[in-house]
Amino acid sequence: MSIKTKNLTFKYSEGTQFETKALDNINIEIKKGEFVGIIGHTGSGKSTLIQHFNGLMKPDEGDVIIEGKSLKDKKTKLKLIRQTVGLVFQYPEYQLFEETVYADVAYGPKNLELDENEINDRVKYALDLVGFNYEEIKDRSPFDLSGGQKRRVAIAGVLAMKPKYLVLDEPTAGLDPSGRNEILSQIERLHEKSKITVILVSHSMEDIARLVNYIYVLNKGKLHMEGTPKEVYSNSEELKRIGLGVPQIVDIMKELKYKGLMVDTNIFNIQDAKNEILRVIRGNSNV
Amino acid sequence: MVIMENISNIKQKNIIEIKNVSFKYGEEENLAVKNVNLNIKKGEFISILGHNGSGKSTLAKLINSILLPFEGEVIVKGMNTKDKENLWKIRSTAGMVFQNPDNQLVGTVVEEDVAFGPENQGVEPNLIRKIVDESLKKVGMFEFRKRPPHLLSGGQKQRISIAGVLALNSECIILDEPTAMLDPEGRKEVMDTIKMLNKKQDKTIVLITHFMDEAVEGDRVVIMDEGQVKLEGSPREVFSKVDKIKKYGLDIPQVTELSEELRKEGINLSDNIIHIEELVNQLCP
Repeated sequence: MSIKTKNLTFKYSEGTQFETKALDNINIEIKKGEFVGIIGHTGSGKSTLIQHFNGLMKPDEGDVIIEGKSLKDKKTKLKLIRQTVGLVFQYPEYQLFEETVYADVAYGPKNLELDENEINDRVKYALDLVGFNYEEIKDRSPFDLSGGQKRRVAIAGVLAMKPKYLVLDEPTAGLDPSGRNEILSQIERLHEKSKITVILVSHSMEDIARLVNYIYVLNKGKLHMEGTPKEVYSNSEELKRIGLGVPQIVDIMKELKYKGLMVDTNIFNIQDAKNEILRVIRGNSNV
Repeated sequence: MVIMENISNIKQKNIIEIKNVSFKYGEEENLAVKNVNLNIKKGEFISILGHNGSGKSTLAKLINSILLPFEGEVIVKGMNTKDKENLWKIRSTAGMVFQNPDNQLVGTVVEEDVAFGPENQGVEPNLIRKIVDESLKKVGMFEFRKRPPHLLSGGQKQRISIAGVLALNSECIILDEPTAMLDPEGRKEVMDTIKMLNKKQDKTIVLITHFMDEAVEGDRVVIMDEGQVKLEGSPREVFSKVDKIKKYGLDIPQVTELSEELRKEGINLSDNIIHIEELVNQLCP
């Protein structure tokens, strides 16, 4: 089971002089259980791509196949697709509107016309998944919470629909470091615990490096590069050329190697960097 | 007389003086800003850090006279923000750039947007043309002057916002998380513009940010928590206090954290590394 795009192309302002290909012949397959990252500069097509994953947008050319169901097929029920693939937009806390956290998270399941008990269970399940104590949080107003907490409530609202795939568009934008950590560790836990497939769109190379197993790099609507974080971040010059960067640690390791310390440069977290530098320095002094 | 002269000299040097300022929103019990004292010198580049709700943005709005102190006073270039007559002068002296580029551009064409401020000030049309062109050149956006803003990238939009502030001839630019919504390239564009305006045009910069690698670029870092200034000093001084910074819910730059980890293992490094080159030079002399 997977989300698969086949020669996916999408054009804006088709037929006018402003026609632009927002997506140009994209072929990818995200399998169940994976944790993938999508990176690319503003306007590279990331948001357009993820809106195809749950049928908010439909391909102009090519196709998107979600768990075997084609977006081109008229028999495909979009309502079902949207339950299968949950999409968390940028700044999702702006979409909170109910008086209590409970009511807000319950809004989606209620629209599915589920019975009271099932709704109740789902709200509990979703709030627990994003790390809240259900009893403590359920009656509070979402508007009295911190930025990070609001965002977790918004994510819970999507999780209450029990999607198999969770797509997050810039989930840490605008949060302070502890809010960022809060969200990222919850997403990490969520992926481990519920085995949900996570698709993370982010401008933060550090966040991507920390979490995902596989990266897709978009540039001008095309799939420019793909691979494991190690493979992708080893092309730091190329990433910078297309308006992206690498985690600061990669820059440090490259600079050290350039200056003659023979470290492995395929490293992007502090712990590994520390161990690698110690290995090389201590190895040298033993000689 | 000599004493009087000294006092006025000191006053000239500080473009912003925040004296015992407290502020609370409406009927709320807690103070959002609690007895803050802070002077900002003309030409200084100061970064304000703190977790969400620490009072950073409130402080910025107090400087700009969007909010007025509950206690104490804020003086901008000798003008008290409480005096209503000073309002527009204060706002053009200390111009503000906000987080979301889409919420602050009003024109349908880039140059119209930048002209908005001077037009409202009643500046002569010929002069406006000149001011707009110069402002756009300073942020490297002159060639985009005829474009509609919504077709620009986030970094370009923020540079247009900065040009709008420059068109008011602001001496001080207050930026409230200007890069939060931008991609790496956009962040770099905006930071390069800020640094250039500070170094070459002598603009005073007040940068509110969650990114530690941006804060190290300034002359001084102020850390706020629970409405108070908790730490203050050069980036080097402030970021060497790793434990304290983490206690306030903030991060330190990755290079500082790595250096700290290596020091704990007995590697001989200085305790105040904030730039990549410093670590590299100390490890590979």
